[in-house]
Amino acid sequence: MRYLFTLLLFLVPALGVWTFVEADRWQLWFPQNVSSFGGEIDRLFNIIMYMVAFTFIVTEVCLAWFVFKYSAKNETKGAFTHGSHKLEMVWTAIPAVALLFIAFIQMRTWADIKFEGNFPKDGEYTREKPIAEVWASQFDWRIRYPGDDGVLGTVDDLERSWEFVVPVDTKIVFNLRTRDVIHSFFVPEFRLKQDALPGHTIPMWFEAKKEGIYDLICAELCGWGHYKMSGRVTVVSKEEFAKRMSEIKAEWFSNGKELGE
Amino acid sequence: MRLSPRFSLVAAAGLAAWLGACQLDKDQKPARPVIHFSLSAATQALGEDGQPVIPADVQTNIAGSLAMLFGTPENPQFQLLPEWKDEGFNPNWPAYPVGEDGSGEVDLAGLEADNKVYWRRQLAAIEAGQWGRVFVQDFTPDLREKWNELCAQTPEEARGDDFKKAAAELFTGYYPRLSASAELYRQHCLHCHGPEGGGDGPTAPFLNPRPRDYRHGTFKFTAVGKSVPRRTDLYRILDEGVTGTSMPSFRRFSQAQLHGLIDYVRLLSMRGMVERSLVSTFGEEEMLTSGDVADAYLTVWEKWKKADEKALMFEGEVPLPTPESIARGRELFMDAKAGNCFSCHGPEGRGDGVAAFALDPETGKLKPTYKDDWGNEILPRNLRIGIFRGGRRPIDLYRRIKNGIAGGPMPEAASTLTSDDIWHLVHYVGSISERPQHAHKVASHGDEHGQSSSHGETPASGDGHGTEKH
Amino acid sequence: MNPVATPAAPHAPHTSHLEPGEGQPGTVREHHDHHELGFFRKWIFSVDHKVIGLQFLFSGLVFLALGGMMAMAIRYQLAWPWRPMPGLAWMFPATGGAITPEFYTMLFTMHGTIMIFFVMIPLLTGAFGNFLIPLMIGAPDMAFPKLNMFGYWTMIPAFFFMILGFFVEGGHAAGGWTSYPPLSTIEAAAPGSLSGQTCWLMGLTWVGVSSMMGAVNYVTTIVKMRAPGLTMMRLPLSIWGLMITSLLQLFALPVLTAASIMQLLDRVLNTGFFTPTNLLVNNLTPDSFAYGSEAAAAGGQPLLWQHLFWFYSHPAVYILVLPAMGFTSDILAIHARKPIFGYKPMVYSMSAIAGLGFIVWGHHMFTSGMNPALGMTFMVSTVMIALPSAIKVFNWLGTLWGGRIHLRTPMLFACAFVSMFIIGGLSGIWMAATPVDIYIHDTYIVVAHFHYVVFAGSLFAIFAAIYHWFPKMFGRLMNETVGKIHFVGSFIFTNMTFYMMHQLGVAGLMRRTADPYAYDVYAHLQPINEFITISAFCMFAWQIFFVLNFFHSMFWGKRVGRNPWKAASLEWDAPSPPGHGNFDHQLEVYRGAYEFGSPEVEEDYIPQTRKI
Repeated sequence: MRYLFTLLLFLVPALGVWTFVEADRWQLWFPQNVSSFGGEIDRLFNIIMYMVAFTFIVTEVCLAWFVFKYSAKNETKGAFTHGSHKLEMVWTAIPAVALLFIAFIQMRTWADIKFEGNFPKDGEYTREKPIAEVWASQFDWRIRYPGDDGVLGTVDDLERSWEFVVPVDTKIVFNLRTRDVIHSFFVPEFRLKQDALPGHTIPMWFEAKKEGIYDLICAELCGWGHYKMSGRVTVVSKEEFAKRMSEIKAEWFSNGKELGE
Repeated sequence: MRLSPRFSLVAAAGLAAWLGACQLDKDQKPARPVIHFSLSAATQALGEDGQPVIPADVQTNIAGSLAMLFGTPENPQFQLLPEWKDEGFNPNWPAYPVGEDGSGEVDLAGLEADNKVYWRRQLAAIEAGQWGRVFVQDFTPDLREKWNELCAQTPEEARGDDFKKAAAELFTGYYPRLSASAELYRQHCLHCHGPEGGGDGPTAPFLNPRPRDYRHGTFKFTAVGKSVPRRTDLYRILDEGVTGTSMPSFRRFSQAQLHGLIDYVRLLSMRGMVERSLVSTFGEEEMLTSGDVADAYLTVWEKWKKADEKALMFEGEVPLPTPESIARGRELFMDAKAGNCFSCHGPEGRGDGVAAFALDPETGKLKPTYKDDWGNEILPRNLRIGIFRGGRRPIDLYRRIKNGIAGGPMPEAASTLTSDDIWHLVHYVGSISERPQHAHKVASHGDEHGQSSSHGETPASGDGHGTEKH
Repeated sequence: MNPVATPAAPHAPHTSHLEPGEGQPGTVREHHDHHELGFFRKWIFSVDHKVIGLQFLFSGLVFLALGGMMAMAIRYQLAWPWRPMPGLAWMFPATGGAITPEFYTMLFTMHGTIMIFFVMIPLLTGAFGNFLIPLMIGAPDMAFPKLNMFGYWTMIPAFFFMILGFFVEGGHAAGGWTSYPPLSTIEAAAPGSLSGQTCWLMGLTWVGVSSMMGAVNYVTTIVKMRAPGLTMMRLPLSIWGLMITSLLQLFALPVLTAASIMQLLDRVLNTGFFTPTNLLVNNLTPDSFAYGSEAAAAGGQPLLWQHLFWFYSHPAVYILVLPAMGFTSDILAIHARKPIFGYKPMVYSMSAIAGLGFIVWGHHMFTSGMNPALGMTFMVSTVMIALPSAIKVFNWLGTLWGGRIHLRTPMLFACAFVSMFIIGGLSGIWMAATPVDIYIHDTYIVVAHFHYVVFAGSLFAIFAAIYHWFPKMFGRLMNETVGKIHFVGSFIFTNMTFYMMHQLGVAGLMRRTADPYAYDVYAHLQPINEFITISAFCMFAWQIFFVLNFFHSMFWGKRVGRNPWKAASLEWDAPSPPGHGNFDHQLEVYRGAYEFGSPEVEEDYIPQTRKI
C-alpha cells in the first residue's frame, strides 16, 4: 500500500508538470498575443510559472519521498525534534525575497497598462479624444464612434453593435461604459480585461500589433444571458480603417435602399 | 444485525461501480432533447362552460394539418406545392441555385466570404493538415455529419490536396438545412421565443419587453409597415440586435447561419399564421375542411412572397439636420393636427404624454392606456435617452415615423405630412435624444446625464413596455 | 495493512495517573452518573457542545451532498450544453429537458453559496470547533452553552431561507455567490433577483449571526477555560487554527452582515446604497418616478458592495482553510509519531495569515475599476500572504521528515491536504500579480485555484478530521480498508477534475458561462471539459464509500478505547465518546501536545497530562 500512496503523491508533480508542458500542443495555452503589452504579461506569467514550478516540484517530491521513506519501519521512534530556528529563518527569508521580487517586477507593467498618467498622450487618440465609446448592456456590445464633430454623445455619433473596428499599430484609447449592470471587456489576444462599472466611464487603452479578428468576451456575470454576450474586435490596417469608417458612416446616413435594406 | 466490513466494502464497491458505469458508458453524447410543437393557448382556450371552444377532434385535425404543412421541430419542412416546381421555388432550401435545388432567395456565393471568416480556424487547420483541430460546433449538426462522413471516406494517410479542397469547400459553402437551423434555434433562441415561436419560452416571463411572438406574422421593426417582414428586415434584427431589449446581436454566427435562422423563423411564423387562420375560419364556419387548410397555407404564402413589394423606401439622399429643420420638427411634434407626437410622447419627449396614461379607478394610480397586439401593456418611447429599438440611424427613425410600428399603437404618419416634414421630425427627435459629453468630463463619475443638462433632467422616466415597477 | 487493528488497549502509563474510582479508560458509558436526558433535550435542544458539533456535522454533510449534486449539474451542462439534464429534465418541458441559462446561473450561484456558507464554514468551525475545543483544552463544555445552542438554532432560519429560495418565482439568487449589484439589487436584472436574492440575503444574515455566536463562544472558551497548566503555547494547533478563525469571524462578519442588510434595504426599501443613477435595466429605470413607484433614491456605488463583501469574504477564505491547517498539523504529527516541526512559527504564521488576510481583499477587484494605485498595494500584501503559507508547508514537510509514518486513512487525507494546498497556494501567486491577473481574472484558472484550496484542501482536511476524530465522536473506528479505497479514488478523481482547469484558464475560458462553445475561440475546449465532467461524476459517485463507511461504522464499527491513535492531546484522555462534562478525572497539563518519540520515556509519546 505504501508504494501505491507514494506513487499517487509522486504523480501529482509528475503529471502536473507534464500537463503544463504539453498544454500548448493540446491548444490549452495562451492564445496568440497581439497587443503591445501582452508579451509583457506573458513574460511575467512565465517568470512566476518557473518559480512556482520549482517550488511545486521540490515540495511535492519531498512530500512523496518523506511519505515513502518514513513509513517504512514503524518499530523504532522517529527523530525527536521540535524544529530548527536556523531552518525557519532560511525558509522564511528566501521565499520572502522571492515573493518581493515577484511583486516588484509586476509594478511597471501594471502601471503602464492601468495608470492614467501612462495613457498615450501624443497619438491620434488620447484620453481627451478617445476613438470610441464601448457600451455594454444586457447582453450586447455597442460601439459608438464620434461623428464628424469628433465629440461623443452627439446625434451624429455612428453606432455599431457587436464589432469594434480599430486600426493596427496605433495606440487606441476608448471609454468603457455600461447601461445597466457590471460587464467586463475581455479580449484574450490583447490580454486586456476591464469591468464596465455602472455610473462610471472607464478609459482603457491598447495597441494591437497584428491585423486580425479577435473575440470580445464579457467576463463578468451580467445575468442569464452572460454567455450570449459576445463581440468582436477587428484590427485592420490604417487605410482599411478609414475605409471601414466611411462605410459605417455611409450606412449610417444611407436611405436604406442603396444598401438593399 | 451486524454488517461485516467486508459486506459494506462489497456493497459500496458495487454501488460505486454501478454509478460510475452509468456515466462512463456514455462515450457518446447524451441525445438531443425531443421538442414538440403544440397548439397556441388561444387555440386550446376553454369556453365559459369549461369545454374547449374548439372541440378536441378539430384541435387534433389542426395539429395534424400543421404537422403536415410544416413538419416537426426535428424535421421541419414546408409542404411543397406542385406549382412551385414550375416556378423553381423551394423554400426548404432557399439558397441558390434556382430550381429544384433551391429558390434563389439567398445568394450562396455572397455568403462564402463570411463563411471563410467564420470558419477561419477550421480552414486554417485543414490547410495545415491538423485534422484533430477541426472542431465543428454542436449547433451545426449537418456540417458535423458531412465532415465526419468526409473523414470516414478518406483515411488520414490518404488525405491530399483533393481532400483539403473538398473539406474547405464544405466549410466555405456551408448553408444550414432547416433541421440544423432548428437545432441552432433550440440552443440559442428557444428559451426566450419558445418552441413554436410564441414568445413564451421559459425565460420569457422575466424579460421586458416580452420576446416577439412570431405567430401573428407581425414584426415591429421593419421597412414594410404592417405587412409580414422581408428577409432583409429579419436579418437586420439578428445582425444588429434590438437595442434596449434582451435581444442581442447574433452576428457571432455566420451570415449563412443567420439566414438559416430566418428560414426557420419564417416557418414558425407561417405555422402560427396558418393556425390562427384556421381557428378564425372555424369560428366563422363551425367546421374545417381540407380546402380551408390549403387556402390558409396559400394565403399565408402569398403574404410572405409579396413582402418585398410592400417595402416603403425613401428615394434620395438623407438630409442633414439644420437648426431650422429642428425648429420645424419641434413645431410639427407639438402640432396636434400634424405630428401630434406630444400627445403620447409628451411635450418634452419623455414618453409621458397624457394620451398614453389613464387613471386606474381601482388603484387610483396611472396606468398605460395602450396594449399591443399581443396584449401587453405598452408605453410610448422616451425619446430622450437615445435608445431606439428599431435603430438610431436617421433612416430608421424615418421609417418608424412614416410607417408606424406594426403591432403597437404607434400610427402611420398622417398623409398630410410630407417626407420633408418627417425628416424635420427625425432631426428634432435626434436633437433631443443625445447630450454631448464634454471631453474633460468623461472621467467624472457617472451621471453626466443627470447633472449637466440644460434641460434640467431628472433621471430618465419610465420607458418602454410593461407596468411592473422595479 | 491495518495498523489500528489492535488499538488502544489501556496501557499502564496512561492509567497510572488516574485517581482510583474515576473510571476505567476505554469504557464507554460508566461515567453516566448524571440524570438521563430525554431524546429532545439530548439530541435536538442540546446544550452539550458535542451534540451541537454533531448537529453541525450532519447538516453540513447533507448540504455537501446538495451542493455536490449542483456541481454535477453544472459539469453536465459544461460538457454537453443544452442536452436533456438527467434528473432535472421534468422541470423544463418546453426545452425538451435542457436547462435554461437562468437556471444555470442559479446553479453555480447556489453551489458556491451552499458550499462556502452551509458546508465548509459550518463543518470546520461549527462541527469541529464545537466538538474539539472543550475536549482539546480540557474544559467540561463551552463557556456559554446556551449561546452555543442558539448558534445552531439560528442556522435553522438560514436553512429555511436557503431552501425557500428555490421555490420562489424566478428561482433562487442568480447573481453569483458574490452577488454584485446592480445585478443583484435590481429585481428586473435577473430572474433570480426577483425574490430569490432576498432569500439569499436573509439566509446569509442568519448564517452570519450563527457564526458570530459561535466565534464569541470559541474565543471565550479558549481564553478562559483551559485546563490548569495548559498555556496558550501548549495548545494543539487545531485550537490555534480555530481560535484565529474565530477572531477573523468576529472582526469581519459584522461587515458582511451590515453589507447584506444594506443590500436587503436596497432591495426592499429602495435605499440605493449600491445602485447608481441613470440605469436602464431590462428596460426599467429603478430610480425613476415611473408611475406608481415610490422608489426614487439612488446614487449609490456598486464598488462599495464589492469592498464590503470582499472585506469579509477574503478573510472567509482563510476561515475556510485555517482550521483545516490546524487539523492537518495535528494529524500529521500524531500519525508521523513526531513533534510538530516549528510549533511557534506555525502559530505565528497562522496569525500572520489572519492579520494579512484583512488587507488583501482588493485582489478580487483588480479589474473592477478600482483605482489602479490601490491594486499595486493590494498586490504587495497579497503576494506576501504567500509567505506564512509557505512556512507552514515547509514545517509540515519538516514534521514528516524523520518520522515514523503510519499511513492510516486520516494521515493519507492529511498528506493529500498538504499536496493539494501546495497547488492551490502556488497558483494563487499568479492571481496576486496584477498584470497577470488582468488576463486570468475570472477564468478557469481561478476556479482551479479555489477548488484546490477549498475542495481538495479543506474538504480533504475535513475528511481527515472525520476519520481521525470519529472514534472520539462515536467510540468506534471507521473502516480502514473502505477508508483507503475512498482516499485513492477521491484523490485521483479530484485531480483529474480540477487540474486541467488551470490550462483551460490559461487558454482564456471564462467561468460562469452556460455555453462557452458558442464562442468559436472556446469551441475546441469541449473535449477537455467532457473529460473533466466524467472525472467529476466519478469523484461524486466515489463518495458513496465515505457515506457507507460513515454510517456503517457509526453503528457497527470496531469499538475502541480512549486513545486509539496514541495521541498526546487532551481529548484522548476523555472516554470515547465523552459523556456530559467530558472528563471523568481532574486534568493537569504538563507539556505541549506533540511529545512523540521523546527519548525521556519508553513509549513513543507522552500525554499532555502525564507528569514525569
